[in-house]
Amino acid sequence: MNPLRTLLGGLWRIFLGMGLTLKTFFRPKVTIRYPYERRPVSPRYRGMFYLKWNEEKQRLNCVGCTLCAQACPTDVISMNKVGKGTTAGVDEFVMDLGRCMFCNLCVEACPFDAIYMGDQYEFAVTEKEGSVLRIVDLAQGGPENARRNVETLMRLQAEAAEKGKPGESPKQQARPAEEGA
Amino acid sequence: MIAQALENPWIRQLVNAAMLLAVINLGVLVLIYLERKVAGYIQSRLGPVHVGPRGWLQSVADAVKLVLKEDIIPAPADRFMFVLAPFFVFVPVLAVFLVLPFSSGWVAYDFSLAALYVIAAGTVAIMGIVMAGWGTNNKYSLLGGLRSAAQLISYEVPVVLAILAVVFFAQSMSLVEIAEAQRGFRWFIFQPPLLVAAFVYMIGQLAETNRTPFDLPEAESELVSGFHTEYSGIRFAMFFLAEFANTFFASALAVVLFFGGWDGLPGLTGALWLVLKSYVLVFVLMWIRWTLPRVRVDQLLGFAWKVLVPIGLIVVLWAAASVVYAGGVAR
Repeated sequence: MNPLRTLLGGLWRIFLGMGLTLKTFFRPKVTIRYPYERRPVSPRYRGMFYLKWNEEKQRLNCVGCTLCAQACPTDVISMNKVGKGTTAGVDEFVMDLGRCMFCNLCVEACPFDAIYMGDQYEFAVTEKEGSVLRIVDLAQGGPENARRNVETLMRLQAEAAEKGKPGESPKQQARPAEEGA
Repeated sequence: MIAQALENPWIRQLVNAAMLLAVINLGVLVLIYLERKVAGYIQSRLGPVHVGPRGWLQSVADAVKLVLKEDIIPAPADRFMFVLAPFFVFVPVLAVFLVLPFSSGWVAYDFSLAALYVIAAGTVAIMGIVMAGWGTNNKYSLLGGLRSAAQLISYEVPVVLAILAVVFFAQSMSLVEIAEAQRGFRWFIFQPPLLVAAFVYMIGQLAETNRTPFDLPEAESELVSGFHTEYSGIRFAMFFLAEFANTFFASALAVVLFFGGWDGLPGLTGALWLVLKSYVLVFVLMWIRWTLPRVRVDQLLGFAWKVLVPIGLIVVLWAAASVVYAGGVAR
């Protein structure tokens, strides 16, 4: 009796297991077909950096204070400041993501709401230079806004020079956008 | 003109052989796709989805990839054995399809000892597997080959006993006559002794076709892929093809022996019924594969000799007794 019971008990457990797999067979699948479907990203996700675009002022929020560059432990950020005071801004902003560890310290350091980390997470590039991002890659809204940012800055400086206010004879002139790109 | 050419017996045989080969190879492609889909679905995945609609061209892409791959022969390998082994595995599988009756009259060669021939021809493949394991000169392959020798020879016995019980009932060894004896839903599976025999047969065939839970010759997690680890390209494809063709044949043979062959509801051709039933059985085999874990070597051999062989012997006695005393003969 005992070996027979062992055999039948084993068979019964196999049937139980197969019932489980059959149930799974007909259950909806959990696969997310990644390139076509994406999971929602947490709002606090530390993805690709972007420089915030101020639609009202038609410029990037960044004034080139370099606080982010100073906060950065791995020396990722460098920038070119133009103008000063209320007309200050950047016409170039370079981040070498090959060194970046996405620690968020630059975002925390920024007093002007200028730099943020977005939800983009596809950084793969085919050459080392590809991970060095310029202002055209970083500006929110893309190269178009990077160009408009420089235009606004140049206009502000011109106005300041006319009024003879602190923006007079700036040491650094904003370069045309083509050069910055 | 084509009709004239077909009158020539040689051309006719050639066409038959080509058709059989095409059916087997296409069937194998379908099986590979099915296996992946079943594996995926059972694991809550989708399986292949990219190549072709719902991924059903995936196996074609795979076949093309395998044919295009470099054919590597390892330097320390025994060249003669290495090159010959895939054929020893592949040809017997094709050879057994020779006697498989798809429908009445749809059989390449019907002769009175077909059941015996299936067993005998199928056994040759064991030699191919051992040759592959030895010829590769790789310790994992050798282990896989030796394991498979022990396993396949052990499980051959209960399978033969199960087929023997069927032969008692059909009073014939011809597969056509065995299937004919089950016409009109008098399938052998409904006979109590043969129900047990069907179980023994399916478990034995699981082992014969190297499928989980008896996939020790391949045992991906311990022997890489066992006897065919070092094979690549078209030679690997032959092992792969043989394995799936074997799986299909084991199911088709089970249909012929136990599930009435081409017997089914009117409305579909007999051959379609046979193929349909075979695919259901293939699905069951895959279902088992993706449910159960692999057994140990000692469990494997112990199960064959201590459980399946005694049950097989009892079934043979039972079948013989019911044929003689209870008039269990189907006709």
